[in-house]
Amino acid sequence: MDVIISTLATFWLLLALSFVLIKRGLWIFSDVAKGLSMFMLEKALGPATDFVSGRPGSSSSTWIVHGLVWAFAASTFTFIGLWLSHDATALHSFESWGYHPDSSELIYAGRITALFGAIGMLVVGASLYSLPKLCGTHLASESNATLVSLLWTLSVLLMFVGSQNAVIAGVTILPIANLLLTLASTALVINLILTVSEATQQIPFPGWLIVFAFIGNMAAVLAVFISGAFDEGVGQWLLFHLAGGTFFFCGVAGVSLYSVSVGSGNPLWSKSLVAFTLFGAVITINPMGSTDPSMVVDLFSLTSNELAPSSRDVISGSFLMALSAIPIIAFSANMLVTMRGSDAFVENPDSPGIAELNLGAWMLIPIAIGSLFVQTDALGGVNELNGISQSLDLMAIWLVMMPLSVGAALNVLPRASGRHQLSANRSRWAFWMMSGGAFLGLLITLMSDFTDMALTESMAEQGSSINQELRKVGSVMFYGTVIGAIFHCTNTISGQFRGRIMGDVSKASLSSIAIESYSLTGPTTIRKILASGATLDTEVSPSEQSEEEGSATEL
Amino acid sequence: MTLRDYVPRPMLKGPSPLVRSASVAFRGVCVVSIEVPSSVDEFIQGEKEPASSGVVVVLGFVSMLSFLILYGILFPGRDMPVISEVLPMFEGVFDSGIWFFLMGVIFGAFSIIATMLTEATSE
Repeated sequence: MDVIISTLATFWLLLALSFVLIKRGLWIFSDVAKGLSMFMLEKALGPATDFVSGRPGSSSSTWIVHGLVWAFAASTFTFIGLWLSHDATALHSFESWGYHPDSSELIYAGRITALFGAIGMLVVGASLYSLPKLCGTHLASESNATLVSLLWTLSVLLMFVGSQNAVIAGVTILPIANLLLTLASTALVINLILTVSEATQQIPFPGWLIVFAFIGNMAAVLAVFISGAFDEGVGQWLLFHLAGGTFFFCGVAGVSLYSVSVGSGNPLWSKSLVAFTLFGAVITINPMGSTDPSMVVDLFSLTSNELAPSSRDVISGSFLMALSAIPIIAFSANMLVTMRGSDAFVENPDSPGIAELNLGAWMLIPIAIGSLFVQTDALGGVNELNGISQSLDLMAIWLVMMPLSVGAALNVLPRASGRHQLSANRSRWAFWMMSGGAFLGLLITLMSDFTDMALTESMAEQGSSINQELRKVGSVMFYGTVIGAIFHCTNTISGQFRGRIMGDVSKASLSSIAIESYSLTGPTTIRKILASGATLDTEVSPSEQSEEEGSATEL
Repeated sequence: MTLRDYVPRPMLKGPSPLVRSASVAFRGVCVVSIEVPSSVDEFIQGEKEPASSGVVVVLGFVSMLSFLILYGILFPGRDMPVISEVLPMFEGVFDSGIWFFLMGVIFGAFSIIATMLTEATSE
């Protein structure tokens, strides 16, 4: 049976139906549905809505701060998981408390908290600000969106607990966490659809990317269950990658494209490329992510089945994954060209997050191509590249999805909260620590994976000592990501209270020897301007001169 | 008598507008300077932390290490009081290099919590 095409056909049909309903409404029931939905979002919650602020932008700020704290937690779990891969008994003292830390379990915890806690919450936070702006309206319910962030955080916390201890007191934890996450997602979808219904202008493509990120995730789950593919290994694998292609890829792409234009001050380079990104993302299968769909199996409490696709599934799956190169390259190119020529730089506090967006856009293509090879290998049943699947998955998370979502969130946060980050210097350190730690740490771990694969292939009886050393260096390098996440958290939280107010230029972040403005009275060289103490942020203002002959002033 | 009560001496032709305004200004300056209290009955604390305070802390830390080394030199082979009795309790617990990193993580986690609490409660 051709599982992939039949499931995708249902998925596309659901998306088309959703699009038509959003555009056309529910005929005469539209007003009733809107009123009922608003009632469910606010009044039905009773006094709970009074506990949170309904100020515009407050929900976005809350989600982003939660997301950054989860980034710290996720990086810590991943670091410990990487360490335990070469020193399995490092934390054996915890066993006296009944906890048995295991490398694969902690890396799994790191992946699940990074995806749903950090990236998910940052994307939602940035979406809650950027989608209303793209629609020319306000978010339908700020207070509901703020409240839902607590529910989402609770579900991610349960996910972490479930990843370490699947069953507690006879209760399977991960499906409960998934149920809470679905509830929160439903509230968000209703909130965003109500916002879109109040649009006062034509919604640009990044806005549709955000809408399809939320709807596509639900449509993917429904499609897999309607087609009955949830019970097969291919169906579970497909659901894992459809969720990755919709919620994560579309969401990250939508908020990144919005942020890169707003942050750099340049118009989005190509509308057609955004359209390719949008349609390509929902039509193709995104190859990024693990080859093992156990996360889907755990979250939906399914029976784990072996990935045994039919030959038609292999062909269609491989073809659709190869086709995903189009939206990925289109998205990356659009990002990089939009950033061109502006003075958006990591040292410029007016453009926070641009450096992260730049890194994510650069790393997207090589990691997507690597993932394509690994996924095609796994789908074809060859499994020769399975050894690097985990490291490549971590690279996709920490070098593509995390920088893009953190970059978009840092860009949106000052606009949503009205205050800049506390320190541009600490923000810069956080970027270098996070990106350097993830890049070097995971690259060295990938080298160790390749060595492992070579040793396995040569059927060596003893492992290589250099392999353990590489894993040790890789995990220590990855520790930079933990420090970077701590810097981001403290900088953002303090910035919410004491950061420079948006639009206040009285305290520009110049050094003590830098000059704020430079009067240009005649032709000069850039060397002379820089030698006078000017920096990239110094304003050069030309002074007007006239060559006309002067005369006495008439009184 | 305060300078508030100071009255310019009358001039024969009366003070010119320039002299009058200058004398008023002078009186204002004197009044301000004279009203600054020499002491207050309230606790005063600076808003910003002086950079040298960090040096003092580091100096204290280095002194502590120096005295510990000095103890080892003066009393070779003798266990450190209290510490030598406490440290064996942790044998088999912190016996991996990961604990150095985990201490950093714990410090980071508490710094995040402390930042949240202090920022939310400070005026």
